[in-house]
Amino acid sequence: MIFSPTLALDPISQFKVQKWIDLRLGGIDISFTNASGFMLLGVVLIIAFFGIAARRGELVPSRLQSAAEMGFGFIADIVRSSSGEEGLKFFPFVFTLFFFILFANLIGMVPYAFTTTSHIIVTGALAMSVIVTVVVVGLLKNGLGFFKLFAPSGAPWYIYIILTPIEIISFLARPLTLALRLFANMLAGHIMLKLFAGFAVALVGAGTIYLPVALLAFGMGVALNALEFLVAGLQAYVFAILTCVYLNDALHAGDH
Amino acid sequence: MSSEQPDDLSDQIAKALADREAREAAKKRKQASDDSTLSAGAYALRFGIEFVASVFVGGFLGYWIDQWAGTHPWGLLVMIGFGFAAAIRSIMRAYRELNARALKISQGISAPDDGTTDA
Repeated sequence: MIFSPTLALDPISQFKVQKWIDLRLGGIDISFTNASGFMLLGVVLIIAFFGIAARRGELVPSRLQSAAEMGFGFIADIVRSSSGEEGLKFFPFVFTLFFFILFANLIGMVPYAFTTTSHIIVTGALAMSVIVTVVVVGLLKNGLGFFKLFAPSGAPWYIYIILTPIEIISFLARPLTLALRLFANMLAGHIMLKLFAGFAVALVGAGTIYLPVALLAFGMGVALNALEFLVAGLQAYVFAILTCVYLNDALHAGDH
Repeated sequence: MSSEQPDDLSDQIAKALADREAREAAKKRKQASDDSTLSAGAYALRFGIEFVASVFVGGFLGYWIDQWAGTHPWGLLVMIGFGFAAAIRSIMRAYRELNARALKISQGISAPDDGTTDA
């Protein structure tokens, strides 16, 4: 069965990666899984959304067009406020990241959908793309001056013995925190949702005496649902803003 | 409607424009404070994971140095220490950024042309 939603009560099976189309390339498993499917769906939805919104660029925008324009303006503001006018070169990158994560998170809120951002391999790949961009841009822009990032000026020499390892560690921790934050938030949120929803169903099944408790669990599930929508947006925002902050560091590494 | 004098009309236009300006300024102020609460949440989310990740990276580096140089267990111990230091440092930095931002926003709302601090 290609699309088999998990009806099980256990909260983990929703994260199971299933193969939809079995593919192999020279011994490497490149199967088209539900993760690939839902990522593709996200990309298609983003392209469709902005394609339809921008199809007729009207002076007085339609509702859809002004939503798309707000998206552009929002990301442009983030980029400009965190990394200045110079950072606007990376507007397409940040824009893509933000909307990819936002759509992946929101698709995950649809019942039976698969949340691609709840897998650390996905968020890890996104974080690596950010950090590789930061390193490449930093080296191209500042040359070896990029490494001044690890030795901020204005300290006596003996401080650097302690400061440099600390700066190197905090730089290396960046991709890890980027990936972990998004992954952990999505994973934990979806486990909570499933737990409370499953709890409500199980209590209804247990007998009428548990009905008030079931209602309580159900109410909790509804509240968590709202919270998860907030988290979906907030995490995309955090990812975008931290990308801008790191890009800013790369652009201005020389003048620390 | 058709009986309006030209003077009235230009007055009305001026009034409408002034109204719109005031409305937009109010909206911008509100947006600024909304942004600050959103950012506060965003920054708060950084702290916990940043701490754990720094210690973890420090420990991993230490382990790797030990493997490479055979200095068991000193690399691990020292680098975990550095990891803790990096964690504290990054949290202090985030805190400072947050403070500076909060200060700027609160001044921007209460006294727009103060111009004293820019931390």
